[in-house]
Amino acid sequence: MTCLVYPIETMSARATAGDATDRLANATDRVANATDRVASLEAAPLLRLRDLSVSFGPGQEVLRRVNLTIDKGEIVGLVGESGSGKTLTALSILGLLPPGARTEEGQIWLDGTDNLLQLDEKQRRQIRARRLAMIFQEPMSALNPVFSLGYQIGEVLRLGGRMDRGQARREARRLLERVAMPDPERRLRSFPHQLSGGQLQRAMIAMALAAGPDLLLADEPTTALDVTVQAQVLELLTDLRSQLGLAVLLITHDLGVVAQCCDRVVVMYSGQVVEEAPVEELFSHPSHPYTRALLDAVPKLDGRDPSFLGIPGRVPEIQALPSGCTFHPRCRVALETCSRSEPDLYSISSIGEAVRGQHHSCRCFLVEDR
Amino acid sequence: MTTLLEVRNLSKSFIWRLPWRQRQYLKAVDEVNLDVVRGECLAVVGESGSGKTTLGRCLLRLLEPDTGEIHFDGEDLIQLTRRQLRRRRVQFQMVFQDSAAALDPRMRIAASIAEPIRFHHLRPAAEVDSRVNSLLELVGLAASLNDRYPHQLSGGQRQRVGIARALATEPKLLLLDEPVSALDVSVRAQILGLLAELRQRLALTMIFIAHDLAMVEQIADRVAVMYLGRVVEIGDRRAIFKQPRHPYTRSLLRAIPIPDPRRRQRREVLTGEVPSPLSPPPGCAFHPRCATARKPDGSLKPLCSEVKPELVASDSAHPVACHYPTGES
Repeated sequence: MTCLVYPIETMSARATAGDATDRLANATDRVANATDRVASLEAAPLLRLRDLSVSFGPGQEVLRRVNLTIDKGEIVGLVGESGSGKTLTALSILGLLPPGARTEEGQIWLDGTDNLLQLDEKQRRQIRARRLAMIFQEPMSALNPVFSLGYQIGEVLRLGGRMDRGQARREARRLLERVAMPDPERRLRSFPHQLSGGQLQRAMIAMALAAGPDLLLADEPTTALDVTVQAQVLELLTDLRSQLGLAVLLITHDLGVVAQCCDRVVVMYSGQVVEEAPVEELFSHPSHPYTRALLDAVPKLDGRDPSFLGIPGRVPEIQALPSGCTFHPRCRVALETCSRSEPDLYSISSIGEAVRGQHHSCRCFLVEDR
Repeated sequence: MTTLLEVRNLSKSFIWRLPWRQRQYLKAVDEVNLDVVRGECLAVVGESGSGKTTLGRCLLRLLEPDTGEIHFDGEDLIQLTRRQLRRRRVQFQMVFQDSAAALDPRMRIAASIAEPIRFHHLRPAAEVDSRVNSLLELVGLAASLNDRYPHQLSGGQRQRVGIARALATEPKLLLLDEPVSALDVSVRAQILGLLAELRQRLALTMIFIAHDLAMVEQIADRVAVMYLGRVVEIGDRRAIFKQPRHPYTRSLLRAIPIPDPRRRQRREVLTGEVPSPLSPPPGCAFHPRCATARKPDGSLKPLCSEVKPELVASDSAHPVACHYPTGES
């Protein structure tokens, strides 16, 4: 809100500046000041989560001080096993936490100007409608079985009286073409059960694009699809990014998918960010033992003998988080300190890398001294 | 090297009937021939709609095939009466994809695993409990879990229970229908490791159904690739991964996302999806999506669009059902 206040003040300053030059100089300073501010706002990331904590009650923290930024037109991969808090992170951004979950602290900044958590429900709904969109793992259960695709996509467009039926239908058709749906005219009249999984996911993406969002939250969008169709959907997402400047938060547990289409990767474990890096950096220098274990678990298709390097154990329950580093019971290189104190998220990029935005950080004692 | 399971010309159709429409036949499995050698792990790979699950169920006669023969250990399963079949089922068991749905939610783990032992009278009643405990240990679960209910276990643990239950009858053949598809990558590797170990220890023969070649690379000895109800290529794992001969197998391999951002290139993505098995394309079922089936000017090669290719081996390479396979000497 501050950005609106500044220009008004400077205008009033300019109005009375005629009689005193020092006041004029003062005002010019303020204008410069304001322009600086605006410039810094332009550089602000599209979305910034600061120290976001979400819990289901005392001692049941599901997200613990999560920091995350997404720039315009960036595809950020959010990686981790089930139960690590990936989906809840996306739901907190939308403000659609499940019943019982509460945001304990933190901020969610959109464009660096609006802290979403301080908006009332009406304003949040506006943001959800215009700027954010989400697609899900199972498009079949996310679409309404008793309405045609044309109706469901059009519904988004007709909301708030922005378009009438005819306009909405033409726009829905254009959107279906945009997502490369085969035979779009016929598909407008189709119902969800008449489509294959890949076509349903395309329809979901078309629906998500209807309001022209800046950020698409994609929760395991290809997990339920066949590999050949998965490749098509991932290609569609990267195309949309380059053509519409759409930012994507891609939630997945498949590091192969991440390697193929993300710019930056955030690895989560039991509600915390444990490593964050640009995609090439993460794959060439994975630093957290959890990231390394995840990478080892991915089949390499290199014809070498099988290794079956799973990660022993499982993601801990939120009611019974281990002391210290929450990964230490499953960690192959855990030290004695790991069970006693909790590591911070240490920065391990050089200054040069950090300036270029190539920030790499890792929550592990073993990298503290690097 | 003797054959444990021999499948000849197996076909299965479903009838698709709607009151206002003429009845249609959906050919889910179309003239499949397979040999499974004792002690090997054969992977059956295909996308959804390829008929791999129907094939699996027909092999164990969970579904009645329309035509064909299934010789298990020298005996034709199709000829068996229900009663005989039930007795034979001890020797072949199945592990399902969705372990949550495959286990009775109101039965404790121990009871679920004991059920097949009791049903087939494999152990005296007094020994059942100890047998259950040793099965739990075999699949890497703590014996203390035996009084839990399925919902109290994680997906990986539940799938281990599914495997223990299948192993309870000491089968010769284990049919696994997408046993790890629903699991996290890290847990998936654990379960695959367990299966590889069990295979060694118990000298099991396995048929492993999967929709993704990446999943079977570590465990299969041989791979059969299915498309619209037919086996289009079958061969040793190495040959399938290194010298795939069918264009579909090559596309499947190329579609696997490689976990290496430096090898990110505009990959040749297969267009379209598996056509409806209600109206399969004439000729080679893959020809509408196939690049090899097109001449340089974009028109279709007549052979591909008119003649159904048979699964044939050449002297130098493994069997493939394609008019223009690669790797022909």
